[in-house]
This record gives sequence, C-alpha cells and structure tokens, in this order.
Amino acid sequence: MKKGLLLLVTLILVGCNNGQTSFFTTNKDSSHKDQRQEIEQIVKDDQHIKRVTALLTDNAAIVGIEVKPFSKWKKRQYEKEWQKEIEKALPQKDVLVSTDLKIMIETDKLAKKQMGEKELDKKIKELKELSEEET
Amino acid sequence: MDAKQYDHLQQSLSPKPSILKNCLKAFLVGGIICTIGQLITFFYITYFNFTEKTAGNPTVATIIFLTMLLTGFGVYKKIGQFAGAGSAVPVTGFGNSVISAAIEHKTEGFVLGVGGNIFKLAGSVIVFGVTAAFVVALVKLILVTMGVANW
Repeated sequence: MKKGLLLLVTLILVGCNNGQTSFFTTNKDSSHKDQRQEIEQIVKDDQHIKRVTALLTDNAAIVGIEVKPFSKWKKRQYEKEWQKEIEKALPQKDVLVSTDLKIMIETDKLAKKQMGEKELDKKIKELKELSEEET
Repeated sequence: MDAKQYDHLQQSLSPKPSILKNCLKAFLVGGIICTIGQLITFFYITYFNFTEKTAGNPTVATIIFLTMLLTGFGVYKKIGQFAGAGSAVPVTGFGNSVISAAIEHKTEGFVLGVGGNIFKLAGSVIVFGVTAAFVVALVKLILVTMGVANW
C-alpha cells in the first residue's frame, strides 16, 4: 500500500516535469519576420504569460497564449488588452488573440506542420469561428 | 420534564457527529468527482471541436450519464453514504436525485409513475435555480443600466 502510494506520487511528480518547451513558437516559413518580432516584443516581458504560439500569414494572424495559473482569474481582461496591442502592431491583418486551451493546442499543432499560406489561412479562419462559438 | 430539560437530555444521549471527519470525506470525494469532470473537459477540448467556453455542456451531460449508470448499479448509494454532501453538491447529486426517483416509482407505470415522479426530488433544485438566476439577471440588468458593469 505504502509502496504503491510512493510510486503514484513519484509518477505524478515525474509527469509534471516533462515538456520544457520554448516561450515563443511560430510557424516555420521565413516571411513576416518583423511582425513576428513585434509580437514577441509585446508578450516578452509580460509577467502573466507562460507560453505563446503565433501563426502568421499575409492576411491573418492567430496568437495562442498560455496564461500563468494565478493570472487565470483575470485572463479575459488580459486577453482583451493583448488583442488591442497586437492589432495595433499589425493593422493590416485580421488578428485573433486567445487564451483558450483549445486555440493553444490547435496553434501548437499547426506550428509543427508544414503547410501552404492558403491552407493556413483556412485553418485560422476555422479557429476564429470556433473561438466565437458560445454554446 | 420541561422542553429545556428534554433538549439537554436528548443532546447528551445522541452520538456526536464527527464534523471534521465528515467534512474531510466530503472534500475528498467532491474533489475527486470534480477532477474527473475536469479530465472529461480536457478530453473534449483535445479530441473534439470544443473550446474552454463550450466544453462545459458535454461534460455535464457525460457526468450525469455516468451517475445514471452508477445509480442504477447501486454504487452511488454507497458513495453517498460515505461522502455525504461531497457527492450531493456536484451535478452528480442532481443526476442521482432524478434517476433514483425514476427507479423508485418504476413499478407504478411509465407515465404516472416514472413521468410523474422523476423530478420529485430534483424539482426544487430547478425551481430555486431558475428563481435565483432570474434575481441575479435582474441585479445585473440594473448594474448594466447604471453603467457600473457590462454584459
């Protein structure tokens, strides 16, 4: 019984330790370098942010943000602020900033894949529609 | 013997419930139920097209379905005896009260028995839930009209 409990606790602790990922991830193609840096500048020094994944195309941008645990109380408010700032930095693009777990998971998946501009645009549009769903 | 004396006697003779122990049990079991709910939410977010905002509904439906099975097999009764409020306060308690009423009145027929009695226990929850929601919405409407909050 005790050994089992010890094993369980160890496994949980080991499980918590995996996946040291980088703070800022984006899609692989080399265009939009300046804009990427602009987004990175905005989110870099924010104490509430744990991790950011940003995807950029010519027309659209999607930024998934993982918020630190205790900042989650006010994450809707922060999300609005970041949305405003990033929209200001990229005025010609259709921007979506989201702290939702689903958006974070999907942007992470898309960032790992190699896909064309058009396909990515379509995916971003789908995610935007998904994030606007209420029920 | 007057009423006061009787009260005193009754209190001295009846066994004391161990409040701390019961609270701890309720906390643990309620916590486990909520953890399972959170895991189901993560499951829906990861594998289906649900966001944090929309994953709540299928989660509640799933949890109530699981409670239905547990109530039918007689497991939830044991959990309830052990955990008390810990098993009654989450949405599983609501599910249990609906399904146990349905099982209890099944012998009286499906229409007047099950249909007429299924919300016998849970009806009060719905009534007070709807009333409370109405009052809260009214308060919020007043606050929004005054310009203090927004929707």
